Amino acid sequence: MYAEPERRSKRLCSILCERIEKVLIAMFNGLFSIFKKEVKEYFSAPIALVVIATFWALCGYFFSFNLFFVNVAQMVTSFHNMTILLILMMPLLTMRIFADENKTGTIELLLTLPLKDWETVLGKFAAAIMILALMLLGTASAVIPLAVFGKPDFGPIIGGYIGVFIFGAMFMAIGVALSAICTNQIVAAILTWGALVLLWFIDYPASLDLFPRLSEILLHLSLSAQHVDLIRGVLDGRSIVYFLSVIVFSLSATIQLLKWRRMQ
Amino acid sequence: MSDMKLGDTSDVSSVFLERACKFFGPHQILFDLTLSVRPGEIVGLLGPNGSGKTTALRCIAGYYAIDSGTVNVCGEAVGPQGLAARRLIGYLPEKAPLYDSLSVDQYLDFVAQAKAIPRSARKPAIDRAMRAFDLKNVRSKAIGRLSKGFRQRVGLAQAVLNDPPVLLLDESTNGLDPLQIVEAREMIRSSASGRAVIFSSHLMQEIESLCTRVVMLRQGRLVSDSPLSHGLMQSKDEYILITMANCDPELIRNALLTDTNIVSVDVHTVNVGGQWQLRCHCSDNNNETFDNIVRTAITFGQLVDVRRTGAQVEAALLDIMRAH
Repeated sequence: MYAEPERRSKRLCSILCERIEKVLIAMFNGLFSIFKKEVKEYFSAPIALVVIATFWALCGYFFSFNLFFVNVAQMVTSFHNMTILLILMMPLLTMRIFADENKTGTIELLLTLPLKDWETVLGKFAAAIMILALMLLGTASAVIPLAVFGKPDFGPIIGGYIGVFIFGAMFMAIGVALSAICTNQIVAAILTWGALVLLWFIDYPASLDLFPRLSEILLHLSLSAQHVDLIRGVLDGRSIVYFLSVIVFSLSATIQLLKWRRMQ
Repeated sequence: MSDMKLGDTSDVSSVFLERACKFFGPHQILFDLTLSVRPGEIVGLLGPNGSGKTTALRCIAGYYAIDSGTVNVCGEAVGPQGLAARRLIGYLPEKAPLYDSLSVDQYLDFVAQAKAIPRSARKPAIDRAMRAFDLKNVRSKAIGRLSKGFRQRVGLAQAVLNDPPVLLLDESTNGLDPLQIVEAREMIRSSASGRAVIFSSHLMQEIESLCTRVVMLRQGRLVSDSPLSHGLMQSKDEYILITMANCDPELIRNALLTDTNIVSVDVHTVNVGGQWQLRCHCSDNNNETFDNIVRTAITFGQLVDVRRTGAQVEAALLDIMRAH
């Protein structure tokens, strides 16, 4: 007597799940197609593998050096090194994202396929983020000796990883936007390096303290000032909002650029 | 002439352009282009370099947005938001848009998914396209390692992957060797059945061999739109080629030009036994002029060969281009 409503609710639930799945597939099909294509491209060309391997090797080198020669067994130094390495390496990953499409003419395919511009941009960004996650995941092996020989506080370590990840994501978003305006990968990489280094040192004029209000703004925009807390695993809400704003702004600018290109 | 079109209404047309204009900055590239293409038609978009062929195709494909006018594909508006229209189009730009690092299989899978072909139908669609363009043997090869002919085939395969009712091909046989051109034409012909195809080229022979209708552009304006089977533009012009030996070509040339039906005579040397080839442009393709040419040739030397070229198309095109 009670089985019928139960069966009916189960059936309703499965129909609902199917519908939701269909809607999700329809919504993200384009995004997922771009994501898959980008990941395949990353791994069929050696650049992603070389960048990942170099990042891991350098992180391992710095960590081992600190551990065995400086006798420092903490992740804060590693997070600092990772951030500097990401500034150097992210442009190498993002430079091809749109510049290569612009140069080879495949952008004409992307813009004439039934894809929304945001699907194209977010699909590419998501693939780049996956590479970043892979890069950081590889360095997590450094935590193993810390856990074996000591009692590390995992809170700041996880916080530090989240901080470095957000840092990297922001570098990538800036790289994607700058790649979209270039047809040459090298130019895209140089522009991204320029932008990141400028953001890192943007608080230089603040040391003169000519305009206190301006100094405050520059200090808030400065990556070097922001990263001190982030690598310690202190996730300040204002910093997160700043990083997310830059990501959203950069990706929106890229979407608008594609739209503008069509209207040209 | 600019508003000339064969199709009457947009609702039966697969591709419908009405007074489409396109500007790049202050420069106008397309001027009030009106064109209608029905299913089953292979329309040749012909014109010299810079006439606006590629821009017209890009506007139909949705790569460029037009500044004024209308572009519809199967009743769907083309434009920045025209996703529905883009689903109905297979487009192969002049340079095949391929990812060199992907294999043929991976590339076609990407295009199939991007064209929203359902997962279950994706593999059969890819297999069908591979069979049609004979790509099975190279399916796992990186596209960057393929010859130009194969790259073009992959480009064509991606264009027809979702069986679109409209196919846009921009100078798709450019850069291919003669054998590949013949193969590519065959593939285009076979993939055109039931579809509205617009094929741009600046080569008259290409259009002649492929298309059922030819639309001519010059400086962004439509200057002519005619079915090819009706003897292009109803021109009466023709070229008669005579090959002569043991003669003074200038003497024959002057004699031929006394015929009022002969507009011009070009003299070329032939690298065989001191022969000459004279190309006579006749304003009227009647037998009287032909006989007169043969008589004159025999009078002034040894006639090796005489033939009427299939150059009516060429002559008519040049006439139209000159007239505008």
